[in-house]
Amino acid sequence: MIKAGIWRVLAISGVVAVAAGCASVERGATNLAINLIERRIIPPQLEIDDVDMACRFATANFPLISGGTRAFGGDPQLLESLLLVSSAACSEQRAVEEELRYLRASKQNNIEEAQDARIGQKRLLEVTARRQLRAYDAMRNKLEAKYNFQYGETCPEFERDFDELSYLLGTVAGLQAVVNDIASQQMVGVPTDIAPKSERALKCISNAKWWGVPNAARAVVWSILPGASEGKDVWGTFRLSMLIGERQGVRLSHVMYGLSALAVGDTPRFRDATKRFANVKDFKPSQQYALVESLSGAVMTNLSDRYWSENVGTRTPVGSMGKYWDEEAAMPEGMNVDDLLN
Amino acid sequence: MTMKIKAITAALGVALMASASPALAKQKVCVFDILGAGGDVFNLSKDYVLAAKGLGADLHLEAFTDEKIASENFKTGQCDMLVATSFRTRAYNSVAGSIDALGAASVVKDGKVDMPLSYEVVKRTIQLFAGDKADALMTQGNYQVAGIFPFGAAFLYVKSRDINSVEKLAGKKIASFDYDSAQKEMISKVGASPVSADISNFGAKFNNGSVDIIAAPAAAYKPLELYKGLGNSGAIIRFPVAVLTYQLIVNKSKFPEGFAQKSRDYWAKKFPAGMQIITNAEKGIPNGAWMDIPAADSVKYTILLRESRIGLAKGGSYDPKALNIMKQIRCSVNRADSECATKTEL
Repeated sequence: MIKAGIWRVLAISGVVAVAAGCASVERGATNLAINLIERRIIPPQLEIDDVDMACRFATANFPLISGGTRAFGGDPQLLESLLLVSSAACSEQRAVEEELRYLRASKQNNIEEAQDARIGQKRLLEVTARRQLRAYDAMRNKLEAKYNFQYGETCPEFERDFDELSYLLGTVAGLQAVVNDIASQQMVGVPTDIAPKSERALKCISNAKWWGVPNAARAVVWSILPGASEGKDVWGTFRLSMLIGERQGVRLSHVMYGLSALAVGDTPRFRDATKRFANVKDFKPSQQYALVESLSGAVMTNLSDRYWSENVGTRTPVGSMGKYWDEEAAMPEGMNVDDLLN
Repeated sequence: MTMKIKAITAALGVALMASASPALAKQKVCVFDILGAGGDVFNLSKDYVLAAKGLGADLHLEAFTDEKIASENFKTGQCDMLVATSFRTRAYNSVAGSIDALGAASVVKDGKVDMPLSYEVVKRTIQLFAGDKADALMTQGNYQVAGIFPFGAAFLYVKSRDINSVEKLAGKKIASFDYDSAQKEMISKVGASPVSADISNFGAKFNNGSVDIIAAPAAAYKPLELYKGLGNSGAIIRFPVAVLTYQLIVNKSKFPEGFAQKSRDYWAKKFPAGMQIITNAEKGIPNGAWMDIPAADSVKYTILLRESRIGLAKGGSYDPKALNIMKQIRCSVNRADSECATKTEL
């Protein structure tokens, strides 16, 4: 009787042990696959300069990639973070379309249409803020566990560029989540202390290596958080960061400069941001990070479209980034309009 | 013949309608929001722009991160409307500006502040001021109140949980905004020393230990990381010093007749939207950070705040009529309060 009991216990333990072994093998294999995707599949995807394609891919495939790898015990958090950043670009784009509809309707005094568009915009901003917050949380959870540091207080020592890139993009997503949640009328409840934490976290990565974005993003926080700009050269930091970005072929710092100018209602500086964006001499977009550069272009166009729609009623005319309706085209030097007409 | 009359009547009707619909002229609005165009107040103002179109105004919003500059621009006529906290709008309408009088909204029941009832007092006051009968009170000279919405209760954040009674405030350093006379009055009344501060540095002064106490709404807790200043020994006293509001003031001559009253009605209906933001912020503070004070001290605080606001009303900082109205509203939601049997503030 006792013997049988012992055999039964042993048998059950064996099954459990084998099952646990299988699970661990599965987990190992899945994590290996995730690692492979991060190292070999993501880099060529970052070379694709089509934001629409990238964000649709991320939106459509997130459930499969996230659910599939998790089902086999993998930890796809960094991959999820990147997919969510990308997917948020899609919903944000749709929110901008609603915002432009609102601005046009408002200009035409079509109040119901404008109110409807505002509601539509807020709903899509809620979706966007939710994705961006998840991207930030996933990045933070994974990297804090991997590098044993405290986000916003201490710095990790990155082993690979992919982790560093996830840290940068996840942090920027966190900042965007704060802004978009407020614009959605706080439907998500994104913690606002992400802003000061991100500001400190961005000190951990090289400004020169990452297109001037870490310092430009810090300058965004300086310009909006009360008291944060004390002793800081906000606009000088943007200028230096844009220079770095222009040399490396990624103009994300320009977008941040434009965003900050709009947030404080500084129209001349906003126009300057768009002009500088449009007129970089001999600009060569980064090949390695073509997607980030394209995303910068898309967001800058959105900012410009808002400004145009608010003032003129249409989005930025094709090929007119950085040119404005109220600016006279200068006559070429040495030419006189009277001479031409005579 | 009948057809002709009908046509004439219809034509007249159209003409009358055209003359009744007010002409749209651009009005510039100076909006104070510490987060600029990306903040909650600016965002709520965007919805308001659409509603204002229906009331005959074509508003153009401009964001200011410095409240003083926004107010000065309004004063000098560079803007036609000001959206700012009651600290600044009180200068243009003392009645509405007295909503945030020290303790004027607080309802204390069984030695504890009843927060929902306290916000109910603010809501009823805003509703009362929104009505057309309040138009005279909401107009002072060329300035008119065109809306009031809640910004949340201001609580005391203390560096140490030992500061748990009125007496223990003596000798402590408290951050004080120079332009708010109520703060100075309170600080001197409890024997504490004021440390000059403003909205851009009071959080940092609390976090780095330059001051022992600040008064701030829950909305400041996360973005200013006030939990750093609280550390393990500090706390937020669950007893509002005042309930802050945002107010809209218009230059009457720049808006159609009746605009301000309709606009106040719009904002009174937006009260729940403002409360949602406040509730989110208050829920974002962990339970452990709050500190309730003993019932006996609640009574002491209530008396202290009442004496201070009566003193300030006598000095001209608050409007006595507004305090009278708020007392009646407090008593309408909490008849059992002993103050309701007295003539104080009436």
